[in-house]
Amino acid sequence: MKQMEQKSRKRSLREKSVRWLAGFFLVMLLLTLLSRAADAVTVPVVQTGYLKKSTIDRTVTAEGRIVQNQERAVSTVAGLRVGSVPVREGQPVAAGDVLFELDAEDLSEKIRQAEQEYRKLELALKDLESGKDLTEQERNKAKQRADEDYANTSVRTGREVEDAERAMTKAKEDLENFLAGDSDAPAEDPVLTGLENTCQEKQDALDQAEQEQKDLEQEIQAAVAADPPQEAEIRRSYEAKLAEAAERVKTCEQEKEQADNALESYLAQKDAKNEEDRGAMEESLRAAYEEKKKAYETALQNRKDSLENASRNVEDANAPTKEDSSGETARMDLENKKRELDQLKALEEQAGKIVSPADGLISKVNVTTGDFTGEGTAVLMADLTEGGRFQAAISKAQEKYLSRGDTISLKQNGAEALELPIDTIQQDTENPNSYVVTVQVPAGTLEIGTVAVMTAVRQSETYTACVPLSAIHREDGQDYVLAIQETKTVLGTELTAERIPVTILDKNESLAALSPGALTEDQKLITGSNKEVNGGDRVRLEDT
Amino acid sequence: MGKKVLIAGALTALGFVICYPVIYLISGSFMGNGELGEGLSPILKNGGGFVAWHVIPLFPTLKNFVELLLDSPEFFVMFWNSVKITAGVLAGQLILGAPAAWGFAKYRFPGRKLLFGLYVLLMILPFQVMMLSQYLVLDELHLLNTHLGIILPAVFSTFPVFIMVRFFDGVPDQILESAKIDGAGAFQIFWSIGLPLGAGGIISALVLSFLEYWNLVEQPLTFLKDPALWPLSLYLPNIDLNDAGIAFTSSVVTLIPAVLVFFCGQEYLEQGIVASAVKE
Repeated sequence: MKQMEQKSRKRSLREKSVRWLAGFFLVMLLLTLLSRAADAVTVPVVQTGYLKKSTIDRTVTAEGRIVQNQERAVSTVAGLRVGSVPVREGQPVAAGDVLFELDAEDLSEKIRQAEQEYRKLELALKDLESGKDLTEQERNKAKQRADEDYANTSVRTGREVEDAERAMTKAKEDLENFLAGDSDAPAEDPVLTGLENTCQEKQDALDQAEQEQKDLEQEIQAAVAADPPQEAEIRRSYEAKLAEAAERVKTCEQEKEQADNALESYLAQKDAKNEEDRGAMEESLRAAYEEKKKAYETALQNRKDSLENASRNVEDANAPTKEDSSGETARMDLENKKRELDQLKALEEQAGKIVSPADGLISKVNVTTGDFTGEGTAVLMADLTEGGRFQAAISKAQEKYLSRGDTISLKQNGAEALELPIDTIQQDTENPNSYVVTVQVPAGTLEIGTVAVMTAVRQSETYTACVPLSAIHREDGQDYVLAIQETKTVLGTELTAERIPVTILDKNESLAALSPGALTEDQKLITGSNKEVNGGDRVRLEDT
Repeated sequence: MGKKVLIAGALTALGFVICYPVIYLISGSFMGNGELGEGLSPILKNGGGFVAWHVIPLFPTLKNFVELLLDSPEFFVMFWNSVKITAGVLAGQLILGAPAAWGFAKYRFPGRKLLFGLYVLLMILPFQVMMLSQYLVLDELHLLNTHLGIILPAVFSTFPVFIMVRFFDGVPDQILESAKIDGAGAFQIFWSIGLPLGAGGIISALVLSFLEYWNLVEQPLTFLKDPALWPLSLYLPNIDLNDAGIAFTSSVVTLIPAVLVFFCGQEYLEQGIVASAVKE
């Protein structure tokens, strides 16, 4: 019994275990599916791409409008009443179309007024001119008189000077004559002559005595020479004669000396006396000369002064008169008035109609019917014949990619795109962060005032490693891309995202160029995902 | 009465000691990471002191189970790998081992004793001894990194044969003879008489095999490179503090089929032990 019980218990245990085992496997199967589903939900689905060779193009797009290149201002004489204005702003006009019409009555009134004024000016000018002539005549007369005075003065004073000069010269001559003539005046002075003769006699005596002495000497010599052993005796014999000769010489010398002295003292006396006489004469002559000289100088000075006065008068007479341009001014006024008159007359001929000078588009009308025309422009119009230009504003960032001369594509709705070069790029004065791009539009292509879109593409160099911008991520200041890596895991071949740091060389809004070497061409890169993907995460490829 | 209580008490205590690892495992699987960290830090983090454990967790949580069973598809991949390997092995052993055992038990042929002795020898040899030669053979056969590379050597394992031989020995020869007289062929005899009568042995052998191959570690580690082919026993080769909770939980889940299978085959195992004891 117990065994049976045991057996049945065991059997039920076995059956229960079998049931439980089956249940367990079933549960495990279920959980397998569940966990896989949960896992699939959490795994990000990614889109991938590869490296490609490309250029980084920068496209700058801007909308702008066509504005006229040239504007014409149509104006007319100010102050005329406007009769009618048939045009309005924005209206295209052809050359010859009437822009506005002037009131005919007002115009003729204005013309009449202008004519009167002209007449007035003419008369005023004539008066002015006649006044000027008179003044001129008087001036000439004064000039003439001054010149005559000058000439007269010159002649008169010249003569005075001459006379004075002559007197002076004479006085000088007398003086000089006196000084010079004194030297060969020595009248026959017998005393002097006598003394001189005495001197001469004494001189001769001296010479004689000396000669005798010399002869005596010679004689002695000769005697000695003839008889040398008797020299002492000879000399003794001649001794007395020698002494005698010598005595005679000495006497003669003394006498001569006396005579010379007497002559000298006499001469001195005579000179002293002469000196006195001469002194007095000289002084009087000199005084006369000085006087004459002074008179001459006075005459000179007088002449100089007179001439100076006269020439000053001449100068004054010749002095330029103050500039009087009133005549000129009056003439100019007259001319202006004439012109104004002509203008008004011309307007009258046109029946007061102001026409458009060329084809264009009216931008601004400054005249109103009934009002007077102003000083400024009456009608401003865009001149279509010069063509227009396209203007668009771009930001500072976009300005970097454009430069003068680049070709842009200009497109208007309904028209074909035009390829045109950029004319200028200038900073907007009001907004320093904005730049204005100008492109000349050839005449006849795009209408002025319309809107167009410009597109400019700047290509950079070709980069071998370019990826879409969505593939680049940034963390901690380092750029990186996520590459797909196949790893073998328990769940089979799985794809994980591998983080690869890269350096960006260049980028635009959609592409980025990377420095080569970091990635290979066959590496799949994650370009987009439905969830955030970090390095090391499992990913699933999108079903294409 | 007192004796019974004493014996019961002693046996309970002994049972508890033997069962303690399992209780430890189950309680740990319900613990959160914090509590586990505290408890295991002396071992895994070189903390001071001894490991302290609460049998009933202070803060029980199902977080680990949820994480394992719902958030880890890898676990299930490995689970089904284990199932595949084990099922394959059992099927193979059934198909090949049973007839072999029957042959050893019921047929007398020359070299039988020698062959059987060889079988016993092979049974004794540990895997590590045969590992290198097995690797080379599998490489030649291009069976490395496949499940067959594990299943096939296991199918030809000698241990189940050995056990089944003992059981088949218990089938009385007279029945066979009477069947032969009735005109049954050899295969028919085996199929109709041997298998049913030796069912106990077969099942017990299979149960033991299951337990062995459910927990197989060395062969998969050596021969399977592809992580997608790994069985459950390789789920957490390295346990660190972060994964302690998962480790406990996965161990518990791995344990469950083994326990259930054992319960299924418990009867036959007992039978087998009895049968081997009783010799006819």
